[in-house]
Amino acid sequence: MSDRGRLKAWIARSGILWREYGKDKMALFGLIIVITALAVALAAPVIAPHNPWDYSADALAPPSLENLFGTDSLGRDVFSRLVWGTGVSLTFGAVAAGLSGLLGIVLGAVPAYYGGRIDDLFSRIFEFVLIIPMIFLLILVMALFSSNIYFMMVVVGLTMWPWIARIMRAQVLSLKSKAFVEASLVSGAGGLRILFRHIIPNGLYPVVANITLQIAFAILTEAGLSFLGVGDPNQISWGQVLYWGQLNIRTAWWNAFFPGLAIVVLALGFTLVGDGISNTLNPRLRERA
Amino acid sequence: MTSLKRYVARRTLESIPLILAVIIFNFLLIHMTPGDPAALLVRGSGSASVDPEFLKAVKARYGLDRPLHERLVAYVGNVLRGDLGYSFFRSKAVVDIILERVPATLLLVLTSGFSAIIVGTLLGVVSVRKFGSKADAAIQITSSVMHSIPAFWTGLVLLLFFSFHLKLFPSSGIMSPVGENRGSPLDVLQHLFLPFLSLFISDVPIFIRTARSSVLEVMNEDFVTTFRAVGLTENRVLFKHALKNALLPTITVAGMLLGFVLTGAVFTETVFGWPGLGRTMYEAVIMRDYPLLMGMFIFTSICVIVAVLITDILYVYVDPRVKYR
Amino acid sequence: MPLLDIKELHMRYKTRGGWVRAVDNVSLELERGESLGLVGESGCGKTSLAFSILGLLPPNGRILKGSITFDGIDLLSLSKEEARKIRWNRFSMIFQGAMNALDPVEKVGDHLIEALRANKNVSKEEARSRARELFELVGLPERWMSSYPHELSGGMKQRVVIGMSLVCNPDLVIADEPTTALDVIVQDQILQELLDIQRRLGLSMIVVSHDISIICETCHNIAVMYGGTIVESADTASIFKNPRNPYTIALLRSYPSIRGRVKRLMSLPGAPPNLIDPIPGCPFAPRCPIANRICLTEQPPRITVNNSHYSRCHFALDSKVEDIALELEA
Repeated sequence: MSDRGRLKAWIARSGILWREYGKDKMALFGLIIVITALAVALAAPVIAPHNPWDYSADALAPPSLENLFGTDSLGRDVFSRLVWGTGVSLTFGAVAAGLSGLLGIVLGAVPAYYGGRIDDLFSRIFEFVLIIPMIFLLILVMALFSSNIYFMMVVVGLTMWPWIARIMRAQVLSLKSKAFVEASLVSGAGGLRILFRHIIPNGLYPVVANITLQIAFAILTEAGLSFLGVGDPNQISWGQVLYWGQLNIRTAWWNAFFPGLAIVVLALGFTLVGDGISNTLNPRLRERA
Repeated sequence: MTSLKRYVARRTLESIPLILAVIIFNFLLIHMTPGDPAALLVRGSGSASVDPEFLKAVKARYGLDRPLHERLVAYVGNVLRGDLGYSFFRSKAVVDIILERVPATLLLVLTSGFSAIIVGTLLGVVSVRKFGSKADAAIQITSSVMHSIPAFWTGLVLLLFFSFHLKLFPSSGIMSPVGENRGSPLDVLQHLFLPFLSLFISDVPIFIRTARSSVLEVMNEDFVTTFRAVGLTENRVLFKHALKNALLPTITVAGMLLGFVLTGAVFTETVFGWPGLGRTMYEAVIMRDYPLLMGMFIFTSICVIVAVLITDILYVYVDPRVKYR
Repeated sequence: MPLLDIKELHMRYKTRGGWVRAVDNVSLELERGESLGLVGESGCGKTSLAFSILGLLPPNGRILKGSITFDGIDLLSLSKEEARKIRWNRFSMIFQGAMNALDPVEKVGDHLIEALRANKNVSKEEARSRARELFELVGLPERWMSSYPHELSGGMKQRVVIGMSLVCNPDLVIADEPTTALDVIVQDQILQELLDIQRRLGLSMIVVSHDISIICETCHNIAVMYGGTIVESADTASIFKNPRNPYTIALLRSYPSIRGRVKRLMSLPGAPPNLIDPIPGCPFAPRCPIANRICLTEQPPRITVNNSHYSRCHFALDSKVEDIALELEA
């Protein structure tokens, strides 16, 4: 089949899956959340009532018409900061999960495809990385090196890829036996080519579901690390807003409450989307035999 | 030597390189940072004045002027002997600091962890029993929502509401600072309740998910049809047979989940000022107390590796299909 | 009065693609002590029929119309509880033992004990001794009662499942592919033992299989199914000596026999019938070598060939049917 033909088939199949996806109300709800967040991020300059960096004398003011979520310890409008921070959180999630996905797909598929001792070795690497409680490592690394948010994105991505790799590996292993039959009929196609053009695309669906879940996880991790004080003070991420907020929690609860709420809602959105994708693919989780 | 003993020996041996990997990784980490590792150990980054004589003494004591591979070997040897370094901030050996804080964390993690496993598994099973009903949907939605809430936010909200607002529970610490009740079980329990609840809420969803998906998989097996045919009630099929089968994969996951639970503990302890390992981590970060940070990383990693080892062995013992008898 | 009397049963499954007509106007009778073989390819509805009798339809299965009467009892009018009580006591099923029919974390002996105690109020000791009886009956040494399923061979597991089905002394046993997934020698053993048990206990039996050769060894009567209906039904001898339906002939001719002349094997072109959107005529028509226009448009009626021998084919009594058979004798 020609490349264009295969692409069309893939799109058609995805179309059917998306229609199935649409039948799941919770999954749709999640998608709405994500799209809304994207819209807010893109329209931030227009939506935010105040300049998020503007200090004012009116510090720790409670929520009002002027400041929907109140102001923080430096008099900055929390609502505007959250609006501007949407893009940062989304970027963080996308980059970290994207990096994790890329590494996970390649490092999961290639050793599994060739099998043998390399596959064993990588399997053990996945297990090893997955059991270590990453929070301690992340805190250590962020404290040792740099609090730059881009650095954090990369490091978080580097701790998440084995999760994806394991799933990709399982997919490749089960598709491998089917593909070899096909491959022996197709003359002269090289090993890696079969892997990347035939096997991986067919095994991508559960991987995509998990990468989506990881976006939520990355956003939560950034919030957590910022909360503990190793975040990037130069950025307006929701985690940072929350960090400044929780310093004054007794007197101004709104400072910590609203950023937290925003994080929960966005993480929930991505989680529902990810679950929706995997429920669509695995109807057993929905129907019973 | 029986098969089981051989398996135990083999798995234990396999864990050793993992532990070594953690230690070596830690070692490499300090050396990758810009700046003098010695100064780093002593005063954290960004701190200006350290007495150069003191630095030289530290270097000599830790052999930091020797070549890299010698230092590596020495370091690994030290760690394996229980020397996790020395915290200059607190003037105590890291190991001692950690061991002092472990009981508090154990109290918190064990109580909330076990409660979460039991409640989570039960809810997962109930959601399968009432598959497709409103109850099932409610359990799943609640699980998804709880899964998206960062552990510290749960803590903050609970703190705000129950402690500051309603003044029902104390807001920090493991016991009252003064008073005749200080240190009594009731006193500790009062302090434990909110952090316990907070960590419990964070941990439950993952157990609900795990239980639900493994029970569902089992319910689709052929022998379930056999039992239904034979006349067993649906409840008996689920709670006696499906659950037994589903618990096996749960055991394998349990070891790995310890890491997850510890992560939640870091945030919960920080929010509630609970004097355990998590809180210590937070304090160490603020002060940039690197020896303590590194020591904690090694310690918790080793704990998890050991936990996984134990659950693997337990699994082999419990599953009748595995022929290591 | 026949022990089992099925009249005009229609059963379907709801699937994402539509309603699948799994059982389409099936009627059959089974007398006490008789054995009936239900034979057909996978998807022909034989297992669905078996599950309908047992009341074990999945949540998406519905019985549209028709009746199933067992010993005078209208099974379809029973509540779930009543059905559960009667099931296993009066009739039971032998599942494919070699597969996953047994719980991997329970001892095989305990399976029988649980099955008994779910239906009769007996003590554990009584149940255990009954289980021992059954192990003896199916030819398993008692010491295997405390083993787990993975420790048994396929044939042994099949015996356990047979034992399970007999634990409450039912009148009727439905064997679902009792020898599939077993190797040939064990198949033969199990079949012989099954026959033996049936004779000894005077059981009525329905054997469901795609393998007509084992059906003919064990059953008095045969009902051939295709596309959800019974296309031919007769006693075993008649089916073999005088098959009057093209599908039956094709089925018979697709199994080589070790004895006798080398016959040309017949294979069927085409695909299994579409049960969601079936054609108005005979379901076999698209693949039938003697099909005519009438076959595609009109459902063939039940044509009586003999006493209890009938065939659903427009040409059941026609010589055309004999020609297919003759063609392949050459």
